[in-house]
Amino acid sequence: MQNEQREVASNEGLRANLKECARQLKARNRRREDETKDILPIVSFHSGVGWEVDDITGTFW
Amino acid sequence: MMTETRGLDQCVDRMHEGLGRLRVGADDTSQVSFLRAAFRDIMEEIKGEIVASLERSAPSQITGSSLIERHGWKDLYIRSFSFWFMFYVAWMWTQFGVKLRGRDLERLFNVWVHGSFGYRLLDLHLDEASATDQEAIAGLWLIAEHEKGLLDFFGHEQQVLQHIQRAKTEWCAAELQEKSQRGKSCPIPSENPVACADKAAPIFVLFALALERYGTASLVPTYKKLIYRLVATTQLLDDLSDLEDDIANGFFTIPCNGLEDTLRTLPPAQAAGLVRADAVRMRQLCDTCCALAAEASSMAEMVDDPLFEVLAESRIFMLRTLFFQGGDPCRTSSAK
Repeated sequence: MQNEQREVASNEGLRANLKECARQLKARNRRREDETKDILPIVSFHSGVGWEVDDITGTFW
Repeated sequence: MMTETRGLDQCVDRMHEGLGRLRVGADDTSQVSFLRAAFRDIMEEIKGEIVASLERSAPSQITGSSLIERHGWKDLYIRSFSFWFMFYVAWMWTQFGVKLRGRDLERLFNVWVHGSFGYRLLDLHLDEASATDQEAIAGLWLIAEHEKGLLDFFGHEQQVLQHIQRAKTEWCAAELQEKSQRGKSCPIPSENPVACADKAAPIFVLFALALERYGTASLVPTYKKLIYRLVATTQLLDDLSDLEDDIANGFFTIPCNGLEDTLRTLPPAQAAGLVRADAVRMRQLCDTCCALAAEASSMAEMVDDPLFEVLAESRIFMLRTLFFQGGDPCRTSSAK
């Protein structure tokens, strides 16, 4: 690979923010797990012909 | 050519800007919104780049016809492809400090496009009666170009070739298993749902080769477990979404496990409805997906990879939203 650009030092701020974001999401997920532990889901998001595009995209984040 | 390169560069710049807006705040859900926005805002532009890449390919040039006119591709498949490519570019930056730009970015993008669509075309040819021989031949060409692109980008060393061959073998084995069980039962055992991610081997190889080149090659097996768990959650959701089509084509997927004898006696729409109305089955599916994503999150934390860790936790967040939003929840003490 030619002419690749490496800027190692300047991604540390982003990495720190991502770590904190992961920590917050973990705490949020634990709370949500408790809230739903005695509930059976209803697959109401299905339209019958396929999921909405935003639902598919939403499953990534 | 310069215009295409500039377009991709601009997409990557915008994604980096979006990630740069990520701030630690009081509202944890806003973090997910920032992340989604960083990727979603450029999806349409990436789609245009995919179309251009495919139209430049030899099969399109020779036949004069588009490879991407199939129903659903532009709206769904290309969108998921766009996400994974941009995630890969972001991962190269956050994990290795490699900022892909210009010609290198374009080469890597073409490698992704050729691999993703080549294997997809072959899969369609095997699965659907409407697929044409022309599409199968185009798929073979695209896969060959994908492999050549990988070697040119990551180097012609023996271990690069071994990764490529291993990925192709894994994909072929998964396809053979799936086709051998057509009309019979789900080829994926319930106790090993991760196996449904085996067909993603040609995508994983890009992560493996980046680890070989920029990171720690010894982490490849851990990343394989991590990425396959995340891919499996997506695949299981896709399976739930595609029940009608899959059952109509004789394929039983994990959500159908144990119900095959009943389902094959019903019209596809009725069979799919029966599966989705089974709340205990849906609960198990949600729990399986969340457990896979939680394992992926732990592995990401172990290898100090915050982007993958956030992706895994975001996946759990979205799973619980998808399965438990709307309607009056059916409460039961027996749900586990």
